Amino acid sequence: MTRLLIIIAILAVQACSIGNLPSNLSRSMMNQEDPELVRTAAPAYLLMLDALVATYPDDETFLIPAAKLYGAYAGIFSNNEAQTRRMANRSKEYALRALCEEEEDLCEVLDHSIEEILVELDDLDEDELNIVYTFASSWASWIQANSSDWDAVAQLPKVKVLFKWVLSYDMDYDKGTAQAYMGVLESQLPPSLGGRPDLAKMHFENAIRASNGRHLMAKVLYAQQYARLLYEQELHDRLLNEVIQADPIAEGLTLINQLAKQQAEVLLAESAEYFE
Amino acid sequence: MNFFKTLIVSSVIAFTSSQALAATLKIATVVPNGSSWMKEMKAAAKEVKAKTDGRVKIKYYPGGVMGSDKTVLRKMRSGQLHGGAISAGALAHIYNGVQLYSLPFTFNNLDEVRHVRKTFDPIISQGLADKGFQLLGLSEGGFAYLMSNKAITNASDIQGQKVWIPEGDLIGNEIFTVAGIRPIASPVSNVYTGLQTGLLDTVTINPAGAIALQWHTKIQHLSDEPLLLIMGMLVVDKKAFKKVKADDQVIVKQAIAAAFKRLDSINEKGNIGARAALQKNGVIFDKPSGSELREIARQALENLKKVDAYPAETYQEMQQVLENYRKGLQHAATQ
Repeated sequence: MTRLLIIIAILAVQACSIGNLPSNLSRSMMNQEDPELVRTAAPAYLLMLDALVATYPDDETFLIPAAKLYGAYAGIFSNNEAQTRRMANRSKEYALRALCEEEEDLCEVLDHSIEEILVELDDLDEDELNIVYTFASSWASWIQANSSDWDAVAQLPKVKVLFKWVLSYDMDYDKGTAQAYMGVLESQLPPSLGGRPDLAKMHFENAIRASNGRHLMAKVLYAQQYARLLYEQELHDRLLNEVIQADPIAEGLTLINQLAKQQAEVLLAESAEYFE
Repeated sequence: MNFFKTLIVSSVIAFTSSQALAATLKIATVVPNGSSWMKEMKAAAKEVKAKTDGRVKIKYYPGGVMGSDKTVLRKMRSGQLHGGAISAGALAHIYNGVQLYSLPFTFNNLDEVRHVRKTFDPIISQGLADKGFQLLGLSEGGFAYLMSNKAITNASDIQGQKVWIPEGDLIGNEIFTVAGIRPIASPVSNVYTGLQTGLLDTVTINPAGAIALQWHTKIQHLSDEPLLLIMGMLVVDKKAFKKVKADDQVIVKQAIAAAFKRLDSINEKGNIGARAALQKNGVIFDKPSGSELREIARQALENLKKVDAYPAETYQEMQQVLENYRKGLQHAATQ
């Protein structure tokens, strides 16, 4: 799964409002064209969120953005495994605290069977979309960062259940990012081992459609996860060339699109050797 | 002008001569990219490339893109592929010795396996060589257990269960036939859906496999006695391998054998972690009572001997080595 799940975690940032913090800060970060600037500036912001969470430990106004930003930073800018894991752990810890504060019943069955989780999800409605989505994203990032631990891997099907629930309310949630998550989750196993890349394809295409083609990371993930899994070089190269040629500027997607463009160059350069 | 000409000519020579010496071994597997198997196999390929100065390249086709183990073997025969990283059982119809470690209730733990492997790995390797396959790597995938929607601790528990066996698995088929049920043979790709829809409710798999394939979400019980050992191996067509320079062959053999040795301990740790994860996820571990299940397996092996499904004589020798090893341990413990 490489770092894909946590890489897309940054996309979740755009959905957050930062409570009492200047709300434009998060938005301007996502609209930033220079990833390097964000990389160096974001840690200060993380520390500030930590301080706010410490001051208001049960307040989801701070827990949710903190969970999202830690997850995002772990995915893109963290440069060693131990740091990625620490940040992903904190992201999940904050997201879980927010979830348990707001949705106690769901929180209590997370360690139980999928059937029990489904029963609790049934009692929720669209008001809980943000909190369930944030927790699912953090959980996915945490599993990714701990993918050598079978206990973490064993929890993946539960994450899928949460994303499915989100999509059942809003197919386009978070500009198609929820669909991109599902695309990654459904492309972990090849068809020969019972995987359903056909579902992955559907989710990636939904993600692209939901953003009117502006979600460049969805295209990169589609190429890297699906096209490579099924050895479809034509699709792989076409998607990556589209990303390279695309204008990265899009409301709430600019930063991630810049990163997608960098990633697309790397993947395209490897194409001939991979599909040889 | 002449200078450029010389450059072009010499680069053409360099190109053609390196082409003549370079060999690419094309190897396919159903193992997905990103798995520990692929990571170690890729590390071996990197090592080979470096140590042979690029004369030997190993190109993998993971994730079943070249088809099932059976298809990979067919493509090896046609020359489309040179090798495959496959489950040991996939070659059973060509050389039955590959089943040696995978016969039911043979081992109690991995120490026993490792003790006998010192003697019997070379025998398996020779048996494959006689059939035109070069064995480059052999590794333990871990013990497989019966996992089900209900506790299976004796013979009667298995009655009425919908038991999956891999396609073409003679041994599994015989065991469950002796147990009085008709197992359902199907490719791995269908098992998850089978468990989901209720067409299947019992599988035999190692703990890590159960989680990786997400079957763990559909089972509630694990019959806690190692039923059989899953082995994975990397074989190449001998004729294709002979085209690699003799010195380079040694490098390839060493690198892949070392990777598969690393996999033994990686998989061992993985399965320990996976067992704990299954328990944490609510799977109940049941100890089989009495020896009914072992008796069924013994009867199945008797029947299978008649159809030459495994090398009975070699198996007998291995049992003897095992018995001596166990006695040795007992002796050491009492001293």
